[in-house]
Amino acid sequence: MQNQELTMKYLRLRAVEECKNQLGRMMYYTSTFENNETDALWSKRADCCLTTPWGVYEGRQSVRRFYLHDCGERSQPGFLEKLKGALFVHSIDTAVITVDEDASHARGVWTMEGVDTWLEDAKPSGHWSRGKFEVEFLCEDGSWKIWKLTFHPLYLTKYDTGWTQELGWKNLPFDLTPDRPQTNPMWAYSPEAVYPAAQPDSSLHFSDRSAI
Amino acid sequence: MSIEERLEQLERRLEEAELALAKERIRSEIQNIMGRYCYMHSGGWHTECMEFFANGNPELTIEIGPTGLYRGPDAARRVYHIGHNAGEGDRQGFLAEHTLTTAVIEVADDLQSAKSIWISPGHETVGCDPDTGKPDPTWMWGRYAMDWINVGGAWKILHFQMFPTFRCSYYSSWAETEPFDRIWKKEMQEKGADAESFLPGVHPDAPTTFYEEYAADRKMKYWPQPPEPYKTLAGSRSMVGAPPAGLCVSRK
Repeated sequence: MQNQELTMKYLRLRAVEECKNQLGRMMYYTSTFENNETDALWSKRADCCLTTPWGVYEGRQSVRRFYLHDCGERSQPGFLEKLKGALFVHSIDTAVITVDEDASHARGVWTMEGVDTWLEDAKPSGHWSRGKFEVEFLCEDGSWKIWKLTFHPLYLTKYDTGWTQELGWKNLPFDLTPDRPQTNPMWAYSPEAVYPAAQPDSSLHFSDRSAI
Repeated sequence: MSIEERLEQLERRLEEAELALAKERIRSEIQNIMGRYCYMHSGGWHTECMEFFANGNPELTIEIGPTGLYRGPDAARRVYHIGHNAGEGDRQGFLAEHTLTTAVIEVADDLQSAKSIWISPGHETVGCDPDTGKPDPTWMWGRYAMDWINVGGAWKILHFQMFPTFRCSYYSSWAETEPFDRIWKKEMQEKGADAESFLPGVHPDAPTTFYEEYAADRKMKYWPQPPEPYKTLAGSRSMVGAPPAGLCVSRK
C-alpha cells in the first residue's frame, strides 16, 4: 500500500470517529445549556442550515440565533432561573457515517432517544422524545464542523402516554424564531400515517460513495 | 542494529499498521451496513435489505426470534422479500425502529470474516390492543448477533440472528408480561395462522434454535455472547444458534 493511500484511509477513518464525537458533544451541551459551545461545533461558512420541526434556520447567523437567542446560553443573566426544572437528555445511536474520497466532507445519520422535561403550569412535565439526526460535516482548518443539520421527529409524548395516543411534535418551550417554516411539514408518527420509505435519505443512498 | 535489520523492523511495523487499519475500516463498514439495515427496515425496504446478505451461499442462515431458522442461498429472499413484505401489509400505523448500541465487532486476522453483536433498545407499533382496538405501542428490546464474510471485498452477512430480550406494551412492565416465546404459537393458532411459520407466505427450514425472552421465573442465559479476537472463520465459535454446551453455565 502506498503511503498516500494509507494516509487517506486513516484520515477517512479518523473523520468517522471525529464526526461521532462532534454530534456526541452536541448532545452533552444540550443537557447543560452550554450553547456557546454548541454554536462552536458549526462551520464558519455563511450557508449553514438547521432544519427543525418548527422551521428552518438558514445561514450561519440564523443558526447562531437559534442557539444563543431562541434556546439561550447558561452564562446569560437570568437564564438559569428561567430553566429551573428543565431537563433535556438526548442519546444517539445507530450511526451510519460516510466520508468522501478526499476526506473533506462527511454525512451521518443517527437515531435519537430523549428525556425532555420542562415546566407546564409551574409543574415539571416529563416527556419521551424520539427522532433522527441527519448531518453534513465539513473539515475546516483540520477540524470536523457541522454544515447542515436536519432533525426528523418521530414522537414527543408525555412519560405516561404512549406514542399512539399523543400525536404530533410540540415545539420546544422557547421563543422560536426560524427564518421560514418547513416547505413540507415534517413527518411524525400517527396511526393513520405510513412511515416514510426513505428517511433519513442519506443513510440509504450513499452506499455507492461510502468510502470509509 | 544493522540497516537491514532496521528495514526489516520497519517493514514488520508497516504490515502491522496496515492490518490494524484494515480491521478498523472493516469495523466501520460493518457498523454502517448494519445501521443501513435498521433504517431500511424501519422504512419497509425489505427487498433492498436482501443486498446485505451472502445471497447464493448455501451456508446463509437467518433467524429472528420466533420465525424459525431459514437456511440456504435464497434465505434472505424468503425472509425479507416475501415474509416481511407480506407481514406488514400497507404499513399504515406500522412502526418498527430497532436501534443499535453497545457494539462489539471482531475481524479475523485473515480479514476474510468478522463477528458482531449489538444490544437493540427498540420500539414497535405492529398491532392493536385487543381490549381497546387501538394501536398498541410496544417496547421491543433484543440483541443482534452475526457472522460476516468478505465476498469479493464487500462485507455480507452469513449468519444473522435476532434474540429478543423482552417485548411489552408501553403501559405494562416487562416483568409482568408473559414472554412471547411462551405464547406466540397459541396466539397464531387462535388467529388461524400457520403456527410453525411466524412470517406469512414462507416456511422455515428448521425450528427456532434458541429463543428465550425475559420471564420473572426464568434464569436468563448469557447468550449470545460478544465475539473474541480470532484468526479465521473455520473452527471459530459461531455467533448464532443455540448456545454451545457449557458456554452459558451461570456463574451463580
